[in-house]
Amino acid sequence: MVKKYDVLIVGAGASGIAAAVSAAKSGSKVILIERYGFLGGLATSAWVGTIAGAYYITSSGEIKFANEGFVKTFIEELRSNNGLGEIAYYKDAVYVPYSPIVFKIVCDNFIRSEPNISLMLHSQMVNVKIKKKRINSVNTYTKSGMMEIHGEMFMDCTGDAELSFMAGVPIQKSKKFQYPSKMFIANQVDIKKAKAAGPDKLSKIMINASMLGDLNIPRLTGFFFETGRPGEVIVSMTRITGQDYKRLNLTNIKDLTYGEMEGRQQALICFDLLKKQMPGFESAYLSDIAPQLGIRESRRIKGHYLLNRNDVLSGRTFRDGIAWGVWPIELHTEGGKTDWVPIKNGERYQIPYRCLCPKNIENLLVVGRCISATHEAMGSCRVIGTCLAMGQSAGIIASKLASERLSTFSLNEKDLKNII
Amino acid sequence: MNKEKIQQKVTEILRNMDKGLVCKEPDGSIDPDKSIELDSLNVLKLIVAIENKFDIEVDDGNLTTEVIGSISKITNYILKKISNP
Repeated sequence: MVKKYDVLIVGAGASGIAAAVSAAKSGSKVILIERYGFLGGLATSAWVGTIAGAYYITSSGEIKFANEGFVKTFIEELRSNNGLGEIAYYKDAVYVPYSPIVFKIVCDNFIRSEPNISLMLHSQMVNVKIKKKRINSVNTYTKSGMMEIHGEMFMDCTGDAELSFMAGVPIQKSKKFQYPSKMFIANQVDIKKAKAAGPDKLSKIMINASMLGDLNIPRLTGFFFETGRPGEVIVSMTRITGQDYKRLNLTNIKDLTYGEMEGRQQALICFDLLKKQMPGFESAYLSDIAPQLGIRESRRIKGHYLLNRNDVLSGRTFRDGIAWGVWPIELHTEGGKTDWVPIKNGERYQIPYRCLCPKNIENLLVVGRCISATHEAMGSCRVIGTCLAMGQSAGIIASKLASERLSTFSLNEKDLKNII
Repeated sequence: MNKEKIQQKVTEILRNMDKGLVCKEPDGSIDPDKSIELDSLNVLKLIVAIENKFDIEVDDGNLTTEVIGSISKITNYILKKISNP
């Protein structure tokens, strides 16, 4: 079966959803391919728990949206569907917790409201056909059988650079990926009591348990996030490493499988600790464990530009900037701690278009967690709010490139400004 | 418990947390007034260790560099807590 579209997007996480809606609204015929039976990517499969990077604190202390457009619309839709908690702060950064189930429904609503979007769930891309620096089609395994889907422009929103990897795009060799976590949901929590115990109480419990030898996981700080539903919180306490605390390679199937199983075990141990020692959790029950490991980092492409730590921390702007990033560099690292390097208050940095463009394929845009950025820069730009913003801009650009059969290399700064 | 003993235990706690936190002087002694830098995780570790070791409750909100910026400052804080529970 052969189908052809203007814009073909693989991966329906934050960046993929934003890209699909934006490309469709720009007039393109879009196909969105997703391996799971639901949309939202890690927001709904790993229960990230918070939307970070959507807001920032200006130099005058005001909280503002970092990017206009789809991010704002999406968040407002979550709020109007009772899927958003209150805006919260961690050190100098602003985030907002959300309900994964509402996130799923809101994603569905956005896609269903766009007649230009064809959606394929439960569909796994298996290979790519390339001709003269252009992707021609992707072969996708679906319940209906193998499908070859043709497109004019392609977008890799997989988070793991899967489409890029299959297309032979150079991938950064990384000796270190950030540690993943397995989130879980606790219900029947006395949230008021838990919050009254103070923001560091959970971490102190973990440190104490670790000192006593009762908690043997490589993490000493824990958090819980209200989903907006009564008594329900998403808990982040786990940190998954390989045996002997080695970093897992989450694009290696053995490591990934091990990580999923180990993650569930850690979730059980952590919940047990919560129930015994954390105020407010005395009557709580473990409602569920996230279906998928919360992967913070995996493959990243080598694009025309490599966003780096200095770009992020200095609030650098670029002539080809397509989205603003505001989240600190957050790195889950050795020793049980999380490195946290803030951007100066009021500062934002831009993500240049060149970070989305592979060097060897001219009709592919890479968006979200797998763009061309260093390990440290990705510690900032991987978050949901920034991915939504990247997706929006990339979707509009892809639509324009598709309609005029242009290559990603052909756009200059002036063209970009006119497009987005 | 006297001040000297408390100071010894505080030094031990800091060394166990991170050997780099407590440096010996050239003559082999430890300067209890030398400033120590604690990141946020180490502050929490210190609180937990102090609470366990000395059976006191630490008021997180008051932990500025003034209070925990050196071994002797931490020692004085603990002494005060023990004498005024």
